[in-house]
Amino acid sequence: MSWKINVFAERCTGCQICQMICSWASEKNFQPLHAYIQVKSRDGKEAQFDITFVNRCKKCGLCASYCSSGALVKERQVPNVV
Amino acid sequence: MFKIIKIDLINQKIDVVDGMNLHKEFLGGLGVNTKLMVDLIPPDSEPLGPDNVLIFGAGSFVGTLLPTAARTELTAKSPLSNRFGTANSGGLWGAALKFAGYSHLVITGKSSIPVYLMIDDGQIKVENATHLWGLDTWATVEKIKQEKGSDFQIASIGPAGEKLVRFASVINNYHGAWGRTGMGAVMGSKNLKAIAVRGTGIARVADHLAFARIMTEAFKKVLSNDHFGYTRCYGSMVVADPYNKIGALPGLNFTCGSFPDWVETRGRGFFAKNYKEKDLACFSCPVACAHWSRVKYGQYEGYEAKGLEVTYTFEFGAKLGIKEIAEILKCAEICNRYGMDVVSAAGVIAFAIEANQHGLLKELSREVPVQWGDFPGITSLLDQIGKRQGIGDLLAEGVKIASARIPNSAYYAMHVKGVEIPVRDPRGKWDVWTLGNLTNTRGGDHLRTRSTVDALLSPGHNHLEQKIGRCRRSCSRSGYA
Repeated sequence: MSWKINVFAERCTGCQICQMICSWASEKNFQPLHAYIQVKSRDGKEAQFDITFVNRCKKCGLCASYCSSGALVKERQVPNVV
Repeated sequence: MFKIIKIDLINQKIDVVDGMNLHKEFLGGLGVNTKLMVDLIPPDSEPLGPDNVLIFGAGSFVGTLLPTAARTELTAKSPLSNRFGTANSGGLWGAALKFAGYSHLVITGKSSIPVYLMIDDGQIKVENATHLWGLDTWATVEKIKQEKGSDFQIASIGPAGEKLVRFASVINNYHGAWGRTGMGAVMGSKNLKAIAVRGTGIARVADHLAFARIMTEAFKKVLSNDHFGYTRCYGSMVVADPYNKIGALPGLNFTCGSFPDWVETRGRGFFAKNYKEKDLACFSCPVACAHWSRVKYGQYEGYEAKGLEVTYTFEFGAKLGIKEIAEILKCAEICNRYGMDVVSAAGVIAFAIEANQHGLLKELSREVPVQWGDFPGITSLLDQIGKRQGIGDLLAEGVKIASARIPNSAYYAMHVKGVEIPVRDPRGKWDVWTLGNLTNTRGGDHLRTRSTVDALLSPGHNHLEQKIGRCRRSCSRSGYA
């Protein structure tokens, strides 16, 4: 199932669990850089973060399921009816 | 992922050896560190001499998604206790080391010039650090990130480590610290300014199914624990109010277990309501017990800092009597920039203030603030200690050595095995805290024999209702030394 992932970057704690679970789901290994979601420190001082998705992300919603800070919230997508 | 880097700074020789067998025999960062320490450090070595060995060890699960697996242990012979020294820090540094392919880093010898280590996946280099020597830790981190890349994780020492302040710490990027037992002084004694790590490799697990089951179960247990919400909200400050209530604060150098205005000035609710901006986490940790704070009013309006941690609050707020949270955060920043342990720094200053109140400092008394909570005086002393200037040169030796040089002052030196007693009055719980302080492996310590607020509330032992720890004169403090 594909989800809409709502991002509230100001709530992000920088734990990188979203990246870790993504790399685990796709590779069964851990490396945050391999994740389809990327969290980067905005100011270099570990307080604010930017969250981006790479194009290959299938919006499986696992990152949001593991996010304990409310920075990622998944929302069921209503399929377009033609 | 479990390889060990061995670096001899005398000839800059670098070896990488497999550490899997050690990991099978000894548990985690501390277990392997301890084994390496026993094997490599001669019993009669000087802590600040070239024979001492500095050992960084990331925990076994660091680099995986097991919740809270972010900790790295730093071990060497301690210049404070002259015995087993070890400190622990979270953040991102350990995970970077693991992703670079290593679990441990063993540093021997002493460089003839200031150097720093750069570990960039398989590339390990010893670089000249002459241009970094003398910089504080934040400037050091910024400089290395500018030169090598912003994605490096950096462990560095500040001026305190360079000047061999016996309780100097190693700072983990900006705000984390391998704080206790003077590991920064050992690093300084080796002329080693920093260790920058970047890892782009992968962390593997042997049994995917078993790991996934354990990982999921661990996440569920952490997130459904009764204390999760409180710990997320207040962080380590969760114990600030209960400890005040039972009289277990180390107030005014352990003479005052609770303060009447504590909850309104330095309490956990007051902090969360008036200062906390957001929650922050170490790598792979869903608890997120750290915070970012901003001062919203008063003379420090607009000042931002990471914190508040209960260690800062108890050390500067209780032990030294500073009431203003912004000033407590400033004191912590000064310690982090100099690279010195918050606990020991507050401990020696509390010792100096009390010794001075009893007229023991004689001609040195002009350099010590007489009043508790004197923020300008306390920051001035922190500066002097970090630079080893004036009385700071004496206090930089820690309370045990300082008290030995000031006649009749040993009664006011609060330490175990030379390591200053941190955070809480051990008399708050005789069975765990007192015994733990006296018997744990690294001296004065609140973490190795830990019973946090949940233990205070355990059935039949509701310590919240007990009034203890306020009557220090009835207790012999010399028993701790």
